[in-house]
Amino acid sequence: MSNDTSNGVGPIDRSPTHLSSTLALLAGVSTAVLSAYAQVALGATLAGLLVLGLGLGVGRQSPVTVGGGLLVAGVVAAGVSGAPVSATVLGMTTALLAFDLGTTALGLGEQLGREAPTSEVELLHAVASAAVGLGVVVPALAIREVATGGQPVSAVFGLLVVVLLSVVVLRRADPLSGRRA
Amino acid sequence: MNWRLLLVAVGVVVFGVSLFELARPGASPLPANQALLPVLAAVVLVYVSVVLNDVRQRPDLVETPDVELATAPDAPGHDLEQTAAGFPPVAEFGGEKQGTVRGALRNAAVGVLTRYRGLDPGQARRQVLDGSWTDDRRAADWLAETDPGSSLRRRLRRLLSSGSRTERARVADAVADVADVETDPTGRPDDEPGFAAVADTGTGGRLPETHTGGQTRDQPRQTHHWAGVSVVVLVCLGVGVLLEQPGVVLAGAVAVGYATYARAGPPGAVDLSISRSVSTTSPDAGEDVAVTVTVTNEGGFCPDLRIVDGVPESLAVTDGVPRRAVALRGGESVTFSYTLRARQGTHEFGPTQVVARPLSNSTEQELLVDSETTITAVPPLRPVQESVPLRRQPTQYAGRAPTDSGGEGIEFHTVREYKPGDSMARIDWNRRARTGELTTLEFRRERATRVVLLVDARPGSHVGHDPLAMDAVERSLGAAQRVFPALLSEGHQVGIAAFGPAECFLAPDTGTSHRQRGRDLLATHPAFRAGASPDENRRIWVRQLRKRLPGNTQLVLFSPLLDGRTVRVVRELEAYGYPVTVLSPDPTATETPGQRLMRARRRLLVTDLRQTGVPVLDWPPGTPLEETLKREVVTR
Repeated sequence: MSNDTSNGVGPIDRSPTHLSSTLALLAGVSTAVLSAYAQVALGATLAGLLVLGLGLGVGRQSPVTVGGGLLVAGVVAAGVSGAPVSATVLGMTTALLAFDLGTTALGLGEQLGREAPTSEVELLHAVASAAVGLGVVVPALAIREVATGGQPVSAVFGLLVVVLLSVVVLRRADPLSGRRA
Repeated sequence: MNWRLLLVAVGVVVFGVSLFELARPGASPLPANQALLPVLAAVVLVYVSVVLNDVRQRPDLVETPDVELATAPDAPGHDLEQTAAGFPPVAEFGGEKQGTVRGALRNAAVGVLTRYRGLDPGQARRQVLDGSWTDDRRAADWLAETDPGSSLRRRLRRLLSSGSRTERARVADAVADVADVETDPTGRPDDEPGFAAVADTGTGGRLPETHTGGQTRDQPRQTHHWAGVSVVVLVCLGVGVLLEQPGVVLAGAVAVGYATYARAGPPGAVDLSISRSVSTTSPDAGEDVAVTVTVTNEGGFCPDLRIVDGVPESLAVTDGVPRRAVALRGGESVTFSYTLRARQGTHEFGPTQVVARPLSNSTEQELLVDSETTITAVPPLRPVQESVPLRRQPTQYAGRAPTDSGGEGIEFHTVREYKPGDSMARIDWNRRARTGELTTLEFRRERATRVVLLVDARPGSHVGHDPLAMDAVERSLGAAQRVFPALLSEGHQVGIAAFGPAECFLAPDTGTSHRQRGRDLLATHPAFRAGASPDENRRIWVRQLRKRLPGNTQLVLFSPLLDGRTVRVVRELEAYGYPVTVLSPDPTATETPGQRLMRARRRLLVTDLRQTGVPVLDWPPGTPLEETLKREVVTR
């Protein structure tokens, strides 16, 4: 009597999804390449890449965040040690993309598992995030081309205050407040 | 809110002034100079620490259950203390303090020693108290009554280890050893559950209490996906300005872009409809069922929908994945399918769980969309091939159960003096020829019996030896499903009832429609479902059961026989004149000390029950039911 029919397989594999993980690591590698203007910067980005890869390997958020932070720190260090502005700005974009895609991979893996077909959504997220980055990088570099040198300190000061204020406001803004469920 | 508006207003004004300053240096009233910049940069960097503090508080994401799996039965005996406390007390041995673990384990040890080593209770007690009952010194010392000797080391150990897990586990193992319970070589020394405990295997538990069907929508929540990005903005600004690096300041602008993206607009209203179709709603048990799910977006564009279908908790997915992530435009729909393995019983699909996110990943909203689907699987009709060993009991109906009285029949019983009217065919003509004496042959009279099958479906019986196999109730139901038609075709009147507080009774009867009724009842009655336990405290169910049972009936109880209460109820029923036969699927495992102790306890209960004259058919997992029945017929 076949009374002991199997109940199915073991628990589902909830590790980070393949596509986003791969894209995140690619972005991390690009960051490392773009920051290769100073040893400190390269060291930081390589360490960041390693930690990020580790985090994706074990499926934990905190190493992914720390890895992203190290990538950003490497880009800043490269900028400070005299990397070209375009490399710094692009490096920042890829560093943030690496963090973003890594976190997406974790979230999707945790909620749907590796087996589930998720590539459509993953690609959409990746394209959207890259577009946002490029949407800032291109105008920023263009403005820089137009207005080089000799800005008055007071204007820089004023713009800095504006950015600070906007960060404070954005942090307080609740994206859900406009919504009535 | 006002505070925010004020900040925005100040920002706009400063921005305008700065632009003016850029165009016409020196024309604006901004009081800035080279010295103020580093101060501002420092302020920015200090604010970073404030923001970083927030970033650490990351909320948990919406969890999704492991719908692919069927709920795994626990192996009995995960709690060693309760297992020890449930040993039947040894009658002549009342001096032990029950209620303490040590007392309970002493009772258990005395229990197995009296049954398996043939000691009388006094002897057994003495052995336990002086520690000579087992070779395991530590177990013996821990259980021994008083001063374990003058050795300081022993005394210290006893003092330190009072109640420690290791000592209890060792005693449990020693007790199990006396009862000949083999140790699983892959076993673990502690009582941790081996199978990664799966919290939830269905989506039904996620519904709120007030759920009324249709679509349940949670409030959207922050995912804090971009939580670190404002720190990046501030660090870039602070460092860039302090060290006068335009590249770093511009990099900060990139981060500002992402911070804005994260806050961009509230998520659109998500509105979904779901339809689910199954290849058959009434499969045979063990048959594969294909499930097709179609999710349609009734609202606007949804870039990220994470869908988990509500696979019934009791069923496992054998092929395909009941999960999907899709982007759907308004009006668009997605279809996916997977395969289930049907098991005996009624299985309801839960709501489909959907987690919706915007492109930026910064919020998520959980939706539960109902689409009611039910599968009812009845096992194929397969009567057992062995005769079921019923108890001897005379009734007036002709049938096939052998009785102890002579008369018409097949099997030879006795010879008696000829009485006028005896059939010519039953006269012993050989003897007549040899001695001239006229005698009549008596055959064993065969009579039909009234039988009620009792299935133990109390919550404590939903246990099994293997998380991936059937639990004891399922095996009991499977066996009852096969015994029921076999007894009917032998001419008996057969009924069915639940052994426990659940309401379920089918009066004994015969006939084709009754056979079908019983089959459906065993397969689908809610009383047999896991988690369908009514009030556990209704202790009067035994009396109610007894009232419903017709007189002159014998009972076949399907029970894992794990607790003393079952044994007491069986004895009670016997005392009221219902002969009981127990068919007991063995759900015990041997991985942990607690499980081994449980196996020893079950053996003890089986032995006790057999000693009162109740036949117990012990049915180990993985063996055919016929084998167990045959063994019983042979040993009788």
